[in-house]
Amino acid sequence: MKELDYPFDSNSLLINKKRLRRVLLDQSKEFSQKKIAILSGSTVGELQDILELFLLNNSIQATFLQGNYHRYYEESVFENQALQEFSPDFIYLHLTNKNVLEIIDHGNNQSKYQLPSAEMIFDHFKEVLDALISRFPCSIIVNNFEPLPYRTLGNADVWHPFGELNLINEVNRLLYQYARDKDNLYINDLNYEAAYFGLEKWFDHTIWYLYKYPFSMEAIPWVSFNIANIIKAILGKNKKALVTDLDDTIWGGIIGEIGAEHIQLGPESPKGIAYQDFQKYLKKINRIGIALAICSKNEYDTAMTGLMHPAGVLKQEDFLIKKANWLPKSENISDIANELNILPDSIVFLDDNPAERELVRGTLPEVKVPELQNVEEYRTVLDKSGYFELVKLTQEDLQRNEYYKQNLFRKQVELKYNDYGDFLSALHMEAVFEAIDSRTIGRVTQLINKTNQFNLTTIRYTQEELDVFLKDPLNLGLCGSLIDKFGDNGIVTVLIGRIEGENFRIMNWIMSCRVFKRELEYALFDELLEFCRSNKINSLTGEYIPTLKNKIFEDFYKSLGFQWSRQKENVQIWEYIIPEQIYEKNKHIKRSRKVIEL
Amino acid sequence: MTKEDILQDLAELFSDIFDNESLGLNMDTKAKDIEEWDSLAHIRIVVAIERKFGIKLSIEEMSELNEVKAIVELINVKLNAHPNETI
Repeated sequence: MKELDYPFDSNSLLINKKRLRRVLLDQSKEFSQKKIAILSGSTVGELQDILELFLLNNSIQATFLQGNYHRYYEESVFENQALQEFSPDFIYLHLTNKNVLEIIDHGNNQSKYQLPSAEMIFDHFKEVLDALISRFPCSIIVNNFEPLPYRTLGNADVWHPFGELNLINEVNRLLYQYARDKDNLYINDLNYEAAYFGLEKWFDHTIWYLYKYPFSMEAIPWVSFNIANIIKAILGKNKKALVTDLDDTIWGGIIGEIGAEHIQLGPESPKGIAYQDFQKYLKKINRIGIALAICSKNEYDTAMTGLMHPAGVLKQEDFLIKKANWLPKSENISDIANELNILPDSIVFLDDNPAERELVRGTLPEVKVPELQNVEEYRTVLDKSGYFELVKLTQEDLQRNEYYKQNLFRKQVELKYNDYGDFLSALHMEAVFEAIDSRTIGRVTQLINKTNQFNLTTIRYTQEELDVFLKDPLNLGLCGSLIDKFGDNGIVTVLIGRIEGENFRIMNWIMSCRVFKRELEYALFDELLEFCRSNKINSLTGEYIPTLKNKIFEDFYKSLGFQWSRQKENVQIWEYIIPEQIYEKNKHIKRSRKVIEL
Repeated sequence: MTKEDILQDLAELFSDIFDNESLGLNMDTKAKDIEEWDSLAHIRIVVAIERKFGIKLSIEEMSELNEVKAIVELINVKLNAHPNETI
C-alpha cells in the first residue's frame, strides 16, 4: 500500500491509522498470524498501532500483548505467566536511552563526577535478555541506545571517560558482542534511526514529561517501519531479486540514441559519478545474495555495450538474466521470475520512467516498484525501503548467485533433450540425505521459513524451536542436498515428522523451487520408506494445509500413492500403507545417506 | 482564521483520527462525549493540532485540552498572537 511504502508521511499515518488499518484488513489477502509481545521501557502507545499497519502491509496480521508501563525488567526476569501463556512468536523490548539514563542517574548525587561502567549498565540489560532467551524460543528484538539530548562535556562527551555519550556507545558495543552468537536475538538500530530522523526532531520533551513517550510522535512510524522490516525478514519475506532498467536508471542517457561513449557514467560528470555510485551500491546488494537482472527497452547488443563501459561497476556477468527487447516489461519480468524459479512477489523493479512503473504496477501488482525521482536519491530510496533487511547471512546467501547461474545452465541443457527422462539422467544427479544437525540447522531453518510453494503445511519454526523439536527422540528431521554435473545445489529439501507407534507422521515436507521437476521428492520418499522399514514402521500419514502459494502441490501425496483419509480443521490428512515390496519411484538420482540415528 | 474555520479544520482532523465522518463536532463537544477519545487518542489529537496549525503547546496547555471549546480558543489565541510564527 502506497501510504506505507517508503517514503511515508509520518503525520498522515498517525492521523489516518484507523482508516488505513480498515483498508489493509479489507484486502483479500492471506495473512500470516503472528503473536508479538512488547515489553515497555517507556510508553509504547502508538508504536504498537503503527507497527500493526506496517506488518499488515507485509501480509502479517499481528496480535499483541503489551507489557505494563516500564515493567520490562520484572516481566522478563521474574515468572511471567501471562507472557508464557501468550506464547509469542516475537518479543520486542521497547528500550531507549532513557533506560540507560535511569541507571546512570540512580544514586548519582555525589559532587565528584562519577559514572557507572558500561559493563555494569549492560549487566542490567543482559539479565533481561538472558532471562528472555532462556524462557522463550521465539525471536527477540531489542533496541540499541541512541544519544542523549544533551552533551555535558560538549564535543568531548563522545570520547572522554566522563562522557555519557561515550558510555552509551560502549554499552551498545557490549550489546552487539552479546548478540552476535545469539541466533534468535535481533537488534533494531535505534541509534541510527534517531540519527537519520534527526536528533533535534527526535526529542520532544513536552510529550516525554507529560506522557512518557521517549521520542517524538513523528518518529514513531520510522521506528515501527524498521521493526516491521526485521520481523518480515525473519519470516522470510525479503525480496530475492532486483530487476533494473538501463537508460537513466543505471547510467545517464538513452544509449540507443547517444551511443555507449556518451552515456553519463563515471568521473566525467557529476551525474556520471552518481550513477557509478548507484552501480556500486547495487553490486554490494548483489554480493549478499540478491539476484540482479535487466529489463530494458533496447536492442540487446546496444544495451550490452553500456555494460562494457570502462567506468561501469556492473558488468554483463553480474546480471543473471538480461532482457533487452521491445516486449512489454511486465512480460519480461514474469519471464525473469519463471527463469529464476521465484514468484513475482520476490522481485523489486527499478525504472526511471513513471509510465513504465505504473504499467508494471498495474499488471504485476505483487512486484515492488518504488518511486524514483533523481539518480542522487535512487540509492536512498532502495536502501530505506527495507526490501533486503538482513537477519542472517548464510554461506548459502553468499553463494546464491552461483546457484542461480547453475540453474540457468541446466535450463539451457534441458532444451536440448526431447525426452525429459534422458535429460534427468544426463544430469548425473546425486542426493545426500542426513539428519538435521548443528551444521545444517541454520540453512534448514531458512528453508522452512522462506519456502512457500513446495511447503505442504507452511508451519514455521525458529531455529530454537526446531532444535527443541529435534531433541525429542520420536521426532525426525531429514534434510537433503542435490548435486549434479553443473554443481552442488546445497541443502534443498527438508522433511519433518514424528513416529507414532507403527505409523510415521509427516508433519511437513519442503523443497526449494530451485530443484523442482528433478524428481528429488521421489528420492526423498524412497529414503523415508527405507528408514521406516528399518524401524518397523508400516504406515505413513501425510499432512497438507492449503495456501494460495502451495495450491499447485495439493495432489502431491496422491501422486505418491497416498489415499485420502480425512480433514481435521484446516489440515488434510493422507495415508499410505507401506507395501511388502517397495518399488523405487526415483529413477534418475543416485541416493546416499549420512547415517540417520533415531 | 476565524473560530469557525478553526472548528471546521478541527472537525476534519477528528474525523480522520477517529475514522468517523459523522462525529458531529461542535463547540460544546467534550472528551467524555466521544467514546474513543481516550488518553492515547488525546496525545494523537494534541500532536496533530500542533502540526496542522503550526503551533507549539506547553505541558499545561496539552493536558488541559479536553474540550473542543478550549481547543478552539487556544488555537485562536496562538494563531493571532503570533501570526507569522511557524512553530
